[in-house]
Amino acid sequence: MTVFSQSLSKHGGGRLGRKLLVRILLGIVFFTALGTMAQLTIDYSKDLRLLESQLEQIHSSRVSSLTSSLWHLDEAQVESQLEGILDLRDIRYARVVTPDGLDFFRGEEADEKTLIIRKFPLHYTAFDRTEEIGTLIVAGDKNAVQGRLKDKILVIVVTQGVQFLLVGVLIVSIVYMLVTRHLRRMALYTAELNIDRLQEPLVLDKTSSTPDEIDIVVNAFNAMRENLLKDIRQREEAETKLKAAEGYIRNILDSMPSILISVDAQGRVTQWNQQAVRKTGLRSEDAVGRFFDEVFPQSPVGMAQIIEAVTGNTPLKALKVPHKIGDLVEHVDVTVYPLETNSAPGAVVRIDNVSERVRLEEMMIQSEKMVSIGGLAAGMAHEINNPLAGILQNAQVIRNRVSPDLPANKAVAEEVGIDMERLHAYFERRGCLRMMDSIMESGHRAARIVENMLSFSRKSNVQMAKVDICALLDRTVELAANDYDLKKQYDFRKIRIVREYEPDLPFVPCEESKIQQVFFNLIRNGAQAMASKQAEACFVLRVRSLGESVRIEIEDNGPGLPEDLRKRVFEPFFTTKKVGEGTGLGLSVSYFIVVENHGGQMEVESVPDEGTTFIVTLPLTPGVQSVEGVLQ
Amino acid sequence: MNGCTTCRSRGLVLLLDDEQNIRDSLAEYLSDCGIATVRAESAEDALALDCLDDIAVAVVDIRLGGMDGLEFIKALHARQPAVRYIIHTGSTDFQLDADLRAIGLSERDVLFKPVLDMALFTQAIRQKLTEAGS
Repeated sequence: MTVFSQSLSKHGGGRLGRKLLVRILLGIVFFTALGTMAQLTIDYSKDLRLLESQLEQIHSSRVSSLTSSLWHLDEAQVESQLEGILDLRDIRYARVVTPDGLDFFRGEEADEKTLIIRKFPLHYTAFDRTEEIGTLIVAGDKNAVQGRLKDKILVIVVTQGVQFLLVGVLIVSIVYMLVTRHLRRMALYTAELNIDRLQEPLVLDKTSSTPDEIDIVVNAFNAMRENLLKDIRQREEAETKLKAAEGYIRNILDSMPSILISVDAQGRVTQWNQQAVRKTGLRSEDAVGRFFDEVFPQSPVGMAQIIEAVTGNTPLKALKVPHKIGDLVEHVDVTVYPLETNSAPGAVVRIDNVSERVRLEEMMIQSEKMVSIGGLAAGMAHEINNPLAGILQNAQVIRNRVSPDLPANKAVAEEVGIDMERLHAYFERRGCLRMMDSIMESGHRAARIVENMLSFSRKSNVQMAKVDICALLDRTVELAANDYDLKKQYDFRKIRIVREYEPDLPFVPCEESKIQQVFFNLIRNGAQAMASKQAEACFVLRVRSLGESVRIEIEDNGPGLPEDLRKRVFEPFFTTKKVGEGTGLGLSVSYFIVVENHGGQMEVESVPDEGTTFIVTLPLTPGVQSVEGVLQ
Repeated sequence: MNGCTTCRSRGLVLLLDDEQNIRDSLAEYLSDCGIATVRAESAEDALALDCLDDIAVAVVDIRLGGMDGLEFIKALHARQPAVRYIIHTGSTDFQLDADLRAIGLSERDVLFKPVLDMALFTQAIRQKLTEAGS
């Protein structure tokens, strides 16, 4: 269209006008020539006729006088008369020839072809007798006629030419007025026409009461334009609707928390939603068209299974599939639905991250397990505590009574005649003192187990106070350091402690002693775990606000936990320690305190050989006694 | 019952527990620490003791056959308001009621079985004895 408009503007005048002009000029030349020819022919024949009539006139007017002159042999008269004839126009020569050989000649000889020769007999009538006394020969000069015509040609050509030229100009301008300029306008209009200018109708600079062909064309064009406009509008509307519908569906697909990927029968990706983008880091436009296993190699469902589902037309479902992403293990539900329409066979792969649900289910199982243990413990605590008290108290009395320091012991020993020092030495040598201590130690452990088991009960009247968590954490570290020093040959002070406390943290409503117990358990466990590893031990303590809650992280760089152990750490009586080292309840009690008694959350993340992080989240609004989700 | 010699001394400690094991071992321990005790298996026996008037401190178990420890405390308090009490119980959910608080008991007077170190008793009893003596 631009090329056209360029050519239009370059030629300015328009091709039609030029063509018309050229043709009219050619016509003018032709017709001028033709007209001139005709004119000349007519003039020529008219002149010839004139010449002939002149010759006839000579016959009628001159012959009698010439005859008379000749009769009288008045040569001078004859000659003069011939002279007179010669004076007439276009007479080449005049001659009188007598039978007796007289020849009077005036004028010039010429080629007979160029002459019209008339012979008039000269009859003299005298006394009833007519006698031919001679012949008058007159020659009309056609050449003279032609010569005169030749002089006229230019005039005729010019006249005719101008005439036709005027007519031509008139025609061209009329055509221009009536047709060409409108055509030009239409051409310009069409050339500049685009979607945006389709609104402007084609209007020509002309007024006519009765519509002519141009008007019809314009009207037809405008009607076409209107229709086009309507069509475009309809199409635009349809397109907008389609786009909106498409966008809506896209939006639905993208808003889904699931990974939704559709593939064709060969396993090539045809749809790739936002969640898939997020999970794989691959944009939709990069994924679509490529093979599923190529763009999603870490998928928990294989290409072969998808193809099988498509060909067999059977949905595939796999629930809680462990799915490793980097070091993290997620649980996903995988469903492969074959597409139902036969027009485009394929399948939709849906992958839902159910880690949270699995985690909550696990938590719920844990909590219920703990509560049932709590119930059991409450029922039997009295029955166990009494004999325990008996064992412990008696053991303590015995331990006292073998001591050489107690005055009463010495008195009785003397009465029975033995030396208390030696008795003590005996018990010492025989390991009895150690055994007594062992009895007491075992009793203490049993008492702790019962006590811990008893803490698995949902208390409703927990006394909550606002606590500075960071300060509490620091105090607990101090406490753990002392405790640890006493019991193990391990220097707690060698553990590097990195504190990452967010400033200006809100105070957390909690039962301080219980939360301290939780921290204590975590720090002691972490220290024990790190002691088993030959590397610089380091705790990272992080506290930060999550808005509605405070998140406390206790990270160690110990040996870490494999996934199967990690899942079980909060289970009651689960321990990785040697028998006698722990009750197997520390973490489950901690878990119970946080989750059940404080409405918080407790999680553990671990990377084998790198360390373990325990995460405690405590809500800022107390009163919620159950973790969100568990009750759902 | 036994230990009538100690009956006559002032500042006697009554040990009321239906479990002999606990009662005796505690008595032995306290006697080693120089604290005179008198033992009773039931509340009824305790109230029938001759030396009831000499009792300054009573260590009382709650669950007993017959009259329970709480009733015993109330009964003895009615007779001898000067007696101080330590509750020694195996119940895990024991809580002081208003009457006991009125008598003067508080949470630190409640010891749960098993008491891991009986030195706790000697401390508590000695404190009560000095309070009673002053």
